Parts: sequence; structure tokens; C-alpha cells
Amino acid sequence: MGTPRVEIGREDYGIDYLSLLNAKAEDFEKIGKKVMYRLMPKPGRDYKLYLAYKPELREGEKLIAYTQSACPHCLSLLNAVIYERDGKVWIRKKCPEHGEIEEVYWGDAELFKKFSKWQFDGKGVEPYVDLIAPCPYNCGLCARHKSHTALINLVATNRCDLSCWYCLPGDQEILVRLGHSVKLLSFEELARRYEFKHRIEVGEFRGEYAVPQNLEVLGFVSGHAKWVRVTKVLRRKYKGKVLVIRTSLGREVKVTPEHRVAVLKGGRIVKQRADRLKIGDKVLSISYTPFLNEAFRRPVPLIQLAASSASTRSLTCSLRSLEISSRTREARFLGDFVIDSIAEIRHEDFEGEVYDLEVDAESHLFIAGDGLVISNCFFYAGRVGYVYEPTLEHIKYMIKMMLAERPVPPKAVQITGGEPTLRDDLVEIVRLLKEAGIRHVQVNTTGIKFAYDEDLPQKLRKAGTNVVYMSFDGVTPFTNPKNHWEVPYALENLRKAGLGVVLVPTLIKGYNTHELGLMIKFSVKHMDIVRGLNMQPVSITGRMPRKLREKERITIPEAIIEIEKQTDGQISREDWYPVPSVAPISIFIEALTGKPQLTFTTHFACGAATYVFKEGDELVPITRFVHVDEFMKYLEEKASELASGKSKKIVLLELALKLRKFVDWKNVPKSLKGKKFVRLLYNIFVKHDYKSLGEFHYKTLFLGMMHFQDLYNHDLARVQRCDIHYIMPDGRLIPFCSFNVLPQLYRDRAQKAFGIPIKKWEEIVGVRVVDYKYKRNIRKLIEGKVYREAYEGIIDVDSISYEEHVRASRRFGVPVVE
Amino acid sequence: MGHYYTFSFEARISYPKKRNIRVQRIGKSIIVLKGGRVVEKDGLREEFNVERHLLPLESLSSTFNITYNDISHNFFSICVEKVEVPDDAVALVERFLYEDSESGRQSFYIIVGSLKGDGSVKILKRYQLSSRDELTGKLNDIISELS
Repeated sequence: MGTPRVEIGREDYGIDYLSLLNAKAEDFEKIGKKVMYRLMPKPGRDYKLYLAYKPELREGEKLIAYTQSACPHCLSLLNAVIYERDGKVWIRKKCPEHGEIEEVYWGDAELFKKFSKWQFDGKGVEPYVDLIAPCPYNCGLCARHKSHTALINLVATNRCDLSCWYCLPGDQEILVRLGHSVKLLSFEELARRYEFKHRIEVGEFRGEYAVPQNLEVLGFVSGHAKWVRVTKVLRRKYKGKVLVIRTSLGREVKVTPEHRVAVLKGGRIVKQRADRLKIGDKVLSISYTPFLNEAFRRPVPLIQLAASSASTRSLTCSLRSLEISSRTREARFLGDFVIDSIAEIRHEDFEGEVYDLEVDAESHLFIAGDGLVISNCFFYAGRVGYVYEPTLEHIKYMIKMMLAERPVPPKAVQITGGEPTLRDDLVEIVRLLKEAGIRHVQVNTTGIKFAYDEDLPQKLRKAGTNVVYMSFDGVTPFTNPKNHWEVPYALENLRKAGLGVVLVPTLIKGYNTHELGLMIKFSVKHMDIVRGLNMQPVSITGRMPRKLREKERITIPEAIIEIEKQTDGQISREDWYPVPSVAPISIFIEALTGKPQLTFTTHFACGAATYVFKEGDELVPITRFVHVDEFMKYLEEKASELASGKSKKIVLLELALKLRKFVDWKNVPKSLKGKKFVRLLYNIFVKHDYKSLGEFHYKTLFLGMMHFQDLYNHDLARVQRCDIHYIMPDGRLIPFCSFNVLPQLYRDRAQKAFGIPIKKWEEIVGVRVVDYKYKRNIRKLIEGKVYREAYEGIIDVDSISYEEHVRASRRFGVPVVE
Repeated sequence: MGHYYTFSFEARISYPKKRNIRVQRIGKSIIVLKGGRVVEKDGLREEFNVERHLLPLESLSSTFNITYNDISHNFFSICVEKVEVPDDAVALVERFLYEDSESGRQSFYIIVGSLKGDGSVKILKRYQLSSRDELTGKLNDIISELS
């Protein structure tokens, strides 16, 4: 089989979205049916099967199970083994092309065992697509899928008003030294520091450049990585093909076809045009030295780079003069570099602004991408090149398709992005969903727009929005540079509108996990409007060396244990239950009513939850006064009795009488004392009353964890049980962990096919995409009473200087204005 | 002459949910030909090859709520039989006994399908029955309807 090519031009599917802007929902139905199968992954081109090899257990490892998983490098299907070692659960797989990959699956084997007792499998769904490929290349949903949808994500736009490093795929960063300060900066951040006063026109290259002072990048100097001076920062517009070069070690760089890459040939290093590179060519990757590990405060993500067509500098110099050629023939290492080989070259269409650096190094070589040595002068490509924003008629078709799910049509939809509040018709989308009968609608946002627009939360609430899912990565500007300053104002406006909010932190070990206790404290402080804190351990995108992954990776049990520590045991590890632990409630209701019920049958390792109540200064988890295990077991027994024909009236009577016994009354918080609590439980658990569930949420704080997978810990057993799905523009339903773990095969391909080139989109709306980028007035925000009050008792806002605020915002990519 | 694959399998699964499953073919494959003639055929045994047999095996996924991923978690054995199908076949009928000793569930199944090019059966109808007698009765109804 040939090399996988995972990117396909928009034109391959024959969809011209510009001509569909006035199309009706029925037209989208026809198009969806036409392209659905064409958009699906193809064997050979997108993936290969390597199922003959089965990884073996090693000494000290205890088998849990075998499974299948995708290769992080070529996306091919591999066998994997899940096992216990040193008190943790691990997953290991081996790709014949890319070697062995081992990753922590769950950071605590004891909690893994506890959670595994709660697995309930669903009855599956009526498939949307025929079975034509192995899992996970057949998503749509197919006959293998075990869980029906609990929540559908509807992507309203791929536009975003931020340029955050974990928000946009392939965000661009480079290690630079500014004076004595070593920083990992995006090219856009870097460019913002300089004025591009000079025009440049050499050959076909036309652009502008700035002359930086005291700026250095890592150059290739006599086989060593050394700081070299940057003499120019250049930028220009570029439209055409770019090549994505991936090495056996999984390092990637994106360059224009003319760009030169350092290649080892006959013991010499030569600079070769990217479009003349071949699979197997030897290239140089930086080895991760202690110096670099220290310098990178966090790991280097997959940096995408595009090269200029400039041929203004010498591009053919060999490194004979550096006296290293004779040593390179047999060595696997070359100074600070590893001799790597090209494993894959893909072509992608590109349109956007690209950046370039001119460096002052004799070799004219420096380190780019995630560690590859390339030639002086390259460009960064910062945009995906299209806007995906389905029209309201298109959304009507997607709603129709989501509601077609059987045996249980979905009841909850999350409108997401990009940043969905960038759409002027967001309220109308909520209305469409509500009119179609969707019971629960939530909007996933940074909340920045809510901070400034008091009317928007009111309108959304009026249209039927149930809750807002708002990003919230920590309590300080350093851990939450995305929206630290705006959160208080957004909360205030949501409070005025009576629109509840769930705060959603992405957890990165060593970055914001030390603030878990404070995040809970902040949520409790704002419990009048904050309904929950739903934590998401980081899902690693792009390719990353193991050591760096270990530095960032945190799994659900580790976060739970950290919370136990940071709350002084008020919320202990025993208080958490996996998502499917509530399945007996649905199973019972289904047995009682005879109607298929929404049942949370996701994999036990995907998520965890608990509820906490405030009792004075203390937090009381629900598990301290409700005997969850016994109660769920009892419901299971009753469901089984109903299934075998026992009278419904008798079963309900028994339950009503027994319900009190599952409550430990001496530990019940004061606010819940009395019959009201039992009545509430009865209404929720027996009547399955959505209103009572809402009432319950007003009294308590939901704490949740949802660990989305990535290519390193990917497990098909989890994918097949996923109950958070995306509705695709062609009408398919894709599990979250296929949509985002294999974006090249699902998300990007479909959005590109139904997207509009940026330039065309800008012509239509009369605004440039970059004009939406948010600029922050920090001084104004931190001086406000709302800001100070929101963080009072959580952090000392006066201990952070204005300059520190500004640096935090800028480092993240959001410019600061006065 | 086309062909399809049919399967019997056993799997002791401990992850993520305990299941102890046995799916056993019952009797011979039944093929209904154009004009209503019915033939019974034995399959030819083949060694299980995951890359070749994965999709045909998983065409049974929705019937037994079991995927190759489930089966492969721990101990499993799969028996593959290749059934030759005359060109004038209009329907294929397979019978199975499904048992899960973990939950104590036992069911009989009849699958009516047509041939897919990749050795899979495209399932047209599926019947879940609670006893062998019910299975026999339903099979007679199906055959008389098809022939």
C-alpha cells in the first residue's frame, strides 16, 4: 500500500458552498447523501491495517485486555495491549513503520478497578452508514457503535477570535531568545513585536520585513544547536501547495515546494528542495537535550511552517567546512541531532499569510517544525484557509439528521466552534434547535462576548438556551490567559440573564493542576450561577516526544487525587463515580415505561462525576449522605423484576418506601433536610423529571471530568462506546474521539469540503477574518469592581502587576490595548 | 459463483464489561435461488485471518452487539466457514445460537441476507427467538415466503 495522503482539496468533492448560500434544507440533504461516502476514509490512502502483530506483556506487567488503536504517526490500525504496572494502567502498541508507543492510560490502577465495575453497554444505534471499513475508519455512526447520543455537538463556525495554542491546530511557535529571556512564541506573537516598515521584492517574492534587535533562534552550528541572530523577520501572502514532511520519529514540518531542507547525502549535508525529497531521505532532527527540555516551559507542539520561494540566499552550501561529514556516515546521532528519515510527504492547499526569518548562521540552517533542521528563510502558515459556517438552512438539515437517530433520538445539543458567538444568528440557531424539540441546548464559548454584550445572554436565554459551557483554565492570568479578565464580567451578565454556566478547564499537568482546589472554590463562590465545573484532562494533539508528553499528561484519577489533596479531603477519591454508573436509573425507567431511554453507556474510563453541596465553609459530596452503590444496585434489581413481569404499581410502591433508606440523614446538608430531598430524588430517579433535575442542579455544584482521547492513548473500546457525537455537514454522526483524534479523516475533510475560501468569504461579508481578532484592554478590566469581587477570597489580585497581566495575555496570543 | 463467510465464535471478555459469549451456527447455510429452489450448503473451514475476515465478521455486530474489538480483548476463538453461493441466489439464511453465561442470556437468531462483494452478508432481516421450537417454526415461515 502507498503512503497515506490524508488531505484532499475541497474541489475533490465537487461542492461549491458559495453556490449553496441560498440553498434549502432539502438541497443539503441531496448533497449530503451524495458526498457522505466519498468523504469517508479510504484504505491505502488514509490508513493501513497492521493487525498481524500483537504486543506482548513484559515482566512486571499484568494484562487487563487487548484492544485496537491507531498509530499516532500514520493513523494505521494496530493491536494494543492495556496492562497494569507500578500501580498505573498503561497502553502499548507497535507500528511496523513507526515503532513502539507506550502511554499512561489511567494514572491509578485501584480507581480503574473501582470504575470498571460500573460498565453498562448500550444497545447500539440504527446505523447511519453501511459497514465498509474497519473501526475507526467507518464512523458515521456504524453498526459497531454501542451507545446512542447523549450530547450532539453542532459546529456553528470554525472562526475564532483568539489565537490560542491549543485552540487552533498546528499553532505556530518557535523557541527564541530575546535578550536573556528564552521564550516559546508563535510567529504571530513574534511578528507583533516588530514594525514591518520595509518592503522587499526579490524575484517572485514580494513582502515586507522588520529588523529585530536582540532576537535569536536555534541554529545548526557544527552539529550543535546554538543561538544565532535573526537579522530579518519577513512576511508575505501565499497561495498554493505546501508540503507536510513527516519523519520516522514523528517530527513534522510544513514548507512550500521550493523550500530547502537539510538532507544527508553521501556523508554530506546538502540543502534540497522540498518537492524533490523522497521517502527514506535522511534528515536531521534535534535530540531533546536537558537544555532544551528546560528551555521549553511546555513541549514544542507540532509547528507548521511554510517556506518562501526566495532564492536570495545561498541554498546549496554543504557542511564540509564544518568538519562533520566524515562522522555522519554511520552515526545515528550527529552532535545535538538525530539522523532521522522521511516517512511521509503530503500535499496541502494553502492560502494565507506566511512568515520567514533570516538568520545569521554560516550554515544558513536552523531548527524549525518540531525539531527539524531546515534552511534559512521559511514561512509560517497560520490559517486553515477556509471558513466553515453552515447556513441556517444547512443547519436545519443537520438537525433533521440528528433527530433521525434511533432507538433514542438525541435530547441535548451543544453549539460549538471555533467561537460560536462570532455568528450574528446564534440566537436563531438556538431557536431552530428548540423548535425541533431539542430539550437541552448549551453554547460552548470563551464567554468573551458575554463580558461585553449584556443583551446576548438575555436573548440566548429567551430563545431557550439551558446552559453556557465556558472555558476557564484557572484562577490566575498565568493559568488562564484565554479569558481570566473577562470571566467575571461574563458571569455577571449571565447572572443578570439567569443563564447558568458550567466552567470548563483543560487540565495540563504542572501548568494549571495546582489550581484545581481554587477552581472549585471559585465555582462554589459563584454557585448562584455556576452549575458545574467540568474538567478535561489534556488531549495531546499533534506529535510529541514521550518525555514531553509525560510532563503534560494528567489522567482522570490523577486529577481526582489532586483534588482530594487540594480540598483537604473534603472531596475524596471515593466520592467520584464513572459516567455509566447512572445507567441503572435509565434502565429502571425504561423497564417501567417500556420506552427507550437516554442511557449513559459510555466507557467507564471516559468520564467521572460527583455533586457537592455547600455546608457553611465545608463542601459535602452527595456520596456522604446518599448510598449510591446500594441505590443503583436496587434500581437494577427492580428493573429486572419489571422485565420479568412484576406489577409496576408494586415496584413503585416498594421504591417509594425504600427510598429513605438510601439516605444517611445525619449527614444531609441543612439546606436539604426534610421530606423535600426525598421528593426531589423521587422525581428525578423515579419520574425522570427534567424540571426536578434542574431544581437539583440549582442546589448543588456538579463536578465532572471528561478525558477525551488522543492518538497516544487511543482505545477502540472507548470509541465504540462514545456518546458525545458531532453532526457533520453531510449528515453523519461522528464520535467525539474520531472527530478530534483523527481530524484529517473527519473534521477537517468535511469542513473543508463545505467551506468557503477565506478570501471569498471576506469579499461576501466585507470584513477580514483577522478583523475579528480580540484585543484586550487589561487596565480597564482589572480596575472594574466586578473583576475584583469575582476573585476576592480566591487570589490576591493586587499581587499581580499590570505588566505581568499584559505579558500573560500577550504570551497567549491576545494583544493588549490601552 | 460468489461466496460469503459465516462464523461461530467464543470469547471470554473481562474488559470493559464482563461477558462470556458463545455464538454457534446452527445447521447448514440455506440459500434460496431464483425461482424459489432452496439448497442447503456446508461451508469450507478457513483459518481466521483478521485482515480478510474482519468486515464479514463485523457484519454480525448489530445482531449480537459484539465487535471484533470486544472479541479480541482477552481469550477468543473464531471458526470461519466459506460458503459458495450460486450466481442465481436471491437470499441467504443463517441460524445462530447466542449464549452469554455471564448474564445468563440465551437467544436464537435467524438472519436473512444478500451477498455483498467483500464476503460479507448484507442483512435484510433479522429475527430474535427465545427457543429452538420457535426457531424451527420461524424458519419454515421464512423459507415458504422466499421460495
